[in-house]
Amino acid sequence: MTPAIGSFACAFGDLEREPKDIPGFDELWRAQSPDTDFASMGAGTFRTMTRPVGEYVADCVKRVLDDAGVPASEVDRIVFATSDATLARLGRDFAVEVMLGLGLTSAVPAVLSFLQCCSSLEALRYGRQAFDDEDVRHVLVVALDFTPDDAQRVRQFALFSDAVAGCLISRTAGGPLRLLSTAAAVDPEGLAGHDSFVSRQRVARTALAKALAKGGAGLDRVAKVFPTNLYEPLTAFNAMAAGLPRPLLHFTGPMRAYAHCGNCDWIINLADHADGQGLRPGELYLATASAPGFFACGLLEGTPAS
Amino acid sequence: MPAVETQTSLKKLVDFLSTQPETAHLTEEQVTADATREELGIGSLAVILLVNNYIQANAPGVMIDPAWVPRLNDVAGIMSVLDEIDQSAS
Repeated sequence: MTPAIGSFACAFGDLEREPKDIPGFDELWRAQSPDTDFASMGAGTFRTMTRPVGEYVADCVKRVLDDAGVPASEVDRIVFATSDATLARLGRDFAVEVMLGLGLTSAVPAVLSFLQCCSSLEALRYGRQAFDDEDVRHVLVVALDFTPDDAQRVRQFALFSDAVAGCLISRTAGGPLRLLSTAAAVDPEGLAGHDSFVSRQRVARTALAKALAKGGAGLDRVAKVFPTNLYEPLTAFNAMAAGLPRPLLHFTGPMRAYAHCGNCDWIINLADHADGQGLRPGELYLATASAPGFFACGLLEGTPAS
Repeated sequence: MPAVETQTSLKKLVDFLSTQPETAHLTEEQVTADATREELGIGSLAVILLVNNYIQANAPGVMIDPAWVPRLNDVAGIMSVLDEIDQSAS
């Protein structure tokens, strides 16, 4: 039986703030994105975590498991995903503390990182692959990103926010989606800090072509695309440059409320779309993520209600 | 492209550049058909915003064609893209 994906949940930083709350925001923005009007960014508010990140992870995981009706003790794998900077902020006992706190007594932990905001799509691929082991029943995928230093929140074309977002891949619990394929590709010019619209187009088209070919589907069958929440005109341009029509993108609502939550964005956007419009059997959905040097995507298909 | 059409496209581009904050300082003498984006100091994001703004102002709803992207590195390419945007809108 093909494992199903569902029970998406998000735990955002509990403190809602506006860009002007960041000391020296205007100067920081101008330094990072010169000649770029922040008003076009598309972000109205962002979130800050006021408690240790493990508490938000616990909140997110509990909601995922409650929704799926799966006891914590039956989870066989937990795959954390985080961007490179956040990885360096996690304590060495982070995973153990989360697992003990939640009663994840059978879950083998792993962390996927080093792909910046694309890490969670690689975690999704890894989590799905865990079902090659016939004994695996449930796999949790948990993306997290947070930025303690306000000055570091303001980056080129992005305003970083704090969030945890997760989902369950399950052999038996059902769920509205299944994973058809994933692909990730590297932009060497981006890794060196010299990316351009041409190199970003190249890496995106490489990954998209691979995912669509592996998934046996054309872009014309994709109903919605869930991208990374970056500067809105840039996000729209890069998507269209990769061949993704603008109307397929679902990100402006979550972007306005939560800004850029690192590698959580595609899950947040997908969950928002699922809450508002629902996920329909037979429809295809494309999760995408972009970061300097990387592009990743995952092709998902709506499954019949179980 | 015939010389008359080139002049028309160039005039259209120069006029539009003069309305954009990042490129308003450029003069007609600087913006020649054989100039590159780099020579004019138009950054990667600026040309993206330029195309976006041109579409919003002149052809709302027109989608970026992936084939345009490699042509945005020089004035001749940018002119051809603006022409195609106009054609898509008509």
